[in-house]
Amino acid sequence: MQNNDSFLNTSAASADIPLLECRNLCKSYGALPVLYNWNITIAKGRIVGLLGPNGSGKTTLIKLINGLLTPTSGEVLICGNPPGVESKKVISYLSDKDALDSGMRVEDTINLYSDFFEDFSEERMYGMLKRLSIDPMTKIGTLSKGNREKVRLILTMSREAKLYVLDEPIGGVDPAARDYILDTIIKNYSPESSILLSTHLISDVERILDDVIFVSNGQIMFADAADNIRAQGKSVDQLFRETYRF
Amino acid sequence: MMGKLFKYEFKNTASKYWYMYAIILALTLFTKILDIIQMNLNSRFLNPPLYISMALLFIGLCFLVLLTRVFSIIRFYRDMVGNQAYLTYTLPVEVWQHIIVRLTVSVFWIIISGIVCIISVFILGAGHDLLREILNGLSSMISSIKTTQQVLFIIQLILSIIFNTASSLMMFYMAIAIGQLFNRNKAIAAAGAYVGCNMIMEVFTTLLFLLTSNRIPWILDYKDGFSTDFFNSGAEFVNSVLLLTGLVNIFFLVTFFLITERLLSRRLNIE
Repeated sequence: MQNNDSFLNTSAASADIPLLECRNLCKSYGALPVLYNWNITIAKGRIVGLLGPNGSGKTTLIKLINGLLTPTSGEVLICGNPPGVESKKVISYLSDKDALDSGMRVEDTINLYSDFFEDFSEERMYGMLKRLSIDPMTKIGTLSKGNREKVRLILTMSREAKLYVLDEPIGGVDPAARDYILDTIIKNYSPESSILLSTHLISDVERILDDVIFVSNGQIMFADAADNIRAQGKSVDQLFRETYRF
Repeated sequence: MMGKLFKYEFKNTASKYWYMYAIILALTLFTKILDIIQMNLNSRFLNPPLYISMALLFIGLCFLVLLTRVFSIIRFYRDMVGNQAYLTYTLPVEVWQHIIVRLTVSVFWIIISGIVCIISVFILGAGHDLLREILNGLSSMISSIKTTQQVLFIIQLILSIIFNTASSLMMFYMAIAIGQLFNRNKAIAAAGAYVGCNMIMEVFTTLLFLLTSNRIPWILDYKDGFSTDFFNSGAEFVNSVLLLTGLVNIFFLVTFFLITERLLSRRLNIE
């Protein structure tokens, strides 16, 4: 298990301001700690998997990054800024909960994103909707669960953001849709940006990962480049199973 | 960004309210038509449908007033600390802007709902003696006020309604912001916070009036019994009451707003 204090994503470290930096980040609910002393840095051009069983602290970290929770101590910096208006301009966030209004049409959500995010590409969005045969005039509430997930994902990926934060992007969809979602993620992110994605479905996502962070009970268990794990003759999934074996 | 927020808030709320207003006005017209027919024919067979229609309209008006407030509170809860908050806080907009937009739009719809109720009552009461008497009473009350004070009185009355509505809604928002600090049972915690805040506000208001009563002439007049002079200056009395309650409401509105903004921007705790 790697020391929490020393983790640094060295593979893409540069003199640039990191896209994401957590310094001694802690979060507790009352006396119950849910994140303990996190120190991570994510530079640009990386797809980082935040991997761990349910309840390990993945979503808590993501909420802290997006300003939905307040740290108990320590700090989160996104492109050098704490969570706020400036950080929201550069983060494209896919939450684990569906926050789209069922009464809105897909087109309304596109207009909403287009109005509020300068980096939103309507062209990219409509292109992906067309490939998925989703009519923009369809009401969100009438879409199937899988299509609703896809709409949420392509809204997120249609932004030209610096940091994409995806919380369980493939959790609620069938295997065919998972492939589409992962392909969408790879196709739409640029080397100037990074992706932090959380999941417990390791085997599905491991082909796209550059780096992995294993978490358990609110602590970083292990963090390394995915290639280093593969060089040991193991898949990320195998290592995950060994790490979390009961 | 505020302009865009206003656009979406109006767009997302308007459809619900237009439906309610359309139903109320349609029911009003239907009841009025029954009323006119009944007045002309004076048939006892028309009484039951007329009374049922009037009862439904009365219930509808009560619901309209109540639901406009309830919708505003539920919408704030859902958008700011519920599931929809995930989208709300993803937008690059300051928390204070979210609060102001939601408060302004809610106050707007509450006032429009009130106006719809008044229009409904006027339509229904047209041609009846009771409405004529009420209008005459209002007219003579306003005309009794000195000409220079009539405008002031009407402006104060409108501002008082707006600030009272805003501060009472803002107290609900503050209670919701306090409730979200809890890790469980946030809605129950918000309800508890509302009761607590209401009690504190009542104590504060009572103390304020007790402390200022010796300094305000109209309260002295009231304590000693109303004099003839006092009744002659009735408009001044109403103006003083409106001014004082208006200032108290503005104070509460600003205080509740600042607390809500601080809690949602510095202590956000979304499940």
